[in-house]
Amino acid sequence: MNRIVPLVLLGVVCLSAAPALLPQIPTTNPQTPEKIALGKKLFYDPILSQNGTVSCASCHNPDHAFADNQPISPGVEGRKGARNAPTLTNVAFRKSFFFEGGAKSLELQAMGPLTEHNEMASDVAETVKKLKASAQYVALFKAAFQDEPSMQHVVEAIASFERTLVGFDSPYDRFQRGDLTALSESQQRGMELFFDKADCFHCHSGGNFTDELPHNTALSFFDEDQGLFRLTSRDEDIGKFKTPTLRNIALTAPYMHDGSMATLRETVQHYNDGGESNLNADPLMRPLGLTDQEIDDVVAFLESLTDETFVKNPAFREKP
Amino acid sequence: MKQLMTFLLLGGMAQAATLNIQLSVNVGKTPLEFGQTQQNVAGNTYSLDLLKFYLSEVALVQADGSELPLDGVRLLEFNKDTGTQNIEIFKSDVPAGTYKGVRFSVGIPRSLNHTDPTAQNDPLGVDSGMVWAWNPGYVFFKIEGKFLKGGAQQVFSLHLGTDPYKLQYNLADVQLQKIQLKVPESGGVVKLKLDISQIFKAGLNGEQYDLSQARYQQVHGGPVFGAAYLNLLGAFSLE
Repeated sequence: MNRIVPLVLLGVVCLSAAPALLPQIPTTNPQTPEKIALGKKLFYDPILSQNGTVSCASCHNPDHAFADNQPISPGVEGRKGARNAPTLTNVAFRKSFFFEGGAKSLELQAMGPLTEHNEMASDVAETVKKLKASAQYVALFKAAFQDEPSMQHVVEAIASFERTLVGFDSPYDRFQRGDLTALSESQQRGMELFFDKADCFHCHSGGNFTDELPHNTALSFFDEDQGLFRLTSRDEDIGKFKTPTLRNIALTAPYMHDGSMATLRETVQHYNDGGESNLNADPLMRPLGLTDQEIDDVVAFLESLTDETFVKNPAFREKP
Repeated sequence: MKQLMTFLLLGGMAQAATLNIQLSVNVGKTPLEFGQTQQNVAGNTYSLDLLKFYLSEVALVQADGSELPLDGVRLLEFNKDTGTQNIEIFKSDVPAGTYKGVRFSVGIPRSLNHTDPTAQNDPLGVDSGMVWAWNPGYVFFKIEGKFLKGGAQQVFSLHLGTDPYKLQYNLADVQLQKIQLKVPESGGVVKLKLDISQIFKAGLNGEQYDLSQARYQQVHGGPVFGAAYLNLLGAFSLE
């Protein structure tokens, strides 16, 4: 019963397409309707940023499957960091966060954009003070946590809301469940290529199309952003970034950790070419020999991973 | 308390006494005043708004050079409301006696530095404001302020952390016996000084720590860490 309740609160419509997947819910932060409601309000509220201009939703826009359509999203005062905002689709199933995978909980992940100078630049004490000054928030925190506002509860509530952002109803999922009309012929050819000649599945594996591991995809010879190296200081980790999910990928252009590729076709072409010269390149990076038609087919398959019910779900929106 | 019991059981001779460690934060020899403008060696006019750091691994140094470790991690914050002179930063029961110095770290012991802060209690929880979410560990030392650039105020910050940059201080002298920290049964006070101007002592590769240069303005990692670390190693002293 304890397992069923969180699943219901996650809003999981159908997990049959991915039976091995289980959401990552810390025992210290079980899902409750009150926490989810508070988390949703906080997610859309710029009160959490230093100057009240940026919310989580500024960069994680529901119209773009909770990603952004800019290479690098601007934070407070238009400041820009170095990385492309990732989608939050099925983020409940992720075991680690950020492009290095260093944060092991969604709760901790939330602290990143909240306090990062180039994003929301929030001062923890100031933010808590602002929330305590709001009678509405005081009541919502009390309902959710039987406690007063704190940053710990802010990130617990936001993580609880984010864990509801679940979707497994794309044409690909419907095809997997037996609806053979769900994918076009081109998409079906693309699916075969994805799991064979194009070799995408080695890293984009599992029900959410990610192995959650860092790889160097030979994006460029030199990149100021050193990826996993900033966690480990090991030379072989320079340029390694965690595999992102491909769910709703057609809605989240531009691509790569730095948003440097504008279209899916450009991205697939990069892999088809085998990438740039790079000492740390993953051994899987090599010319794939896909024809133009085959590249089109792979792109068509990636477009079949768009879940319209996810994008249109009123429960995810600020104003349903 | 466990420490005290151990002393009582093992020692027998030395009486327990209260040790207070106090800190004064100065700019050179002048008491720091938050918000008041100063000049650094690069010629920047700056003022400070916040100084915050973890104190851990505190130990008294005994006559034979061995350590008497004292438990606990403290998060210390100084701002315009706290004052900067003779602030108690650590208190513990120790055996009365004369010690040859004190050792401590600014930072978090490695064994605690890589857990999930959202699962930790104060002062290691996320409400500490000392968390790097991408998880190289905690911010050990944080200083924030403003400097003048072209007549306009601009913010700067140094957030120092990661295991290699834990600052370890050994303010002890067993050889020359010049340091005598007396902790009588009535209690003793150890006075520390932190000269905050030392942060600007030197920049990278012989250049100055110049706040008008972008790489010294928002320091949360990268090569400037090394310069800041070396500067801070000389910033604490015994009064």
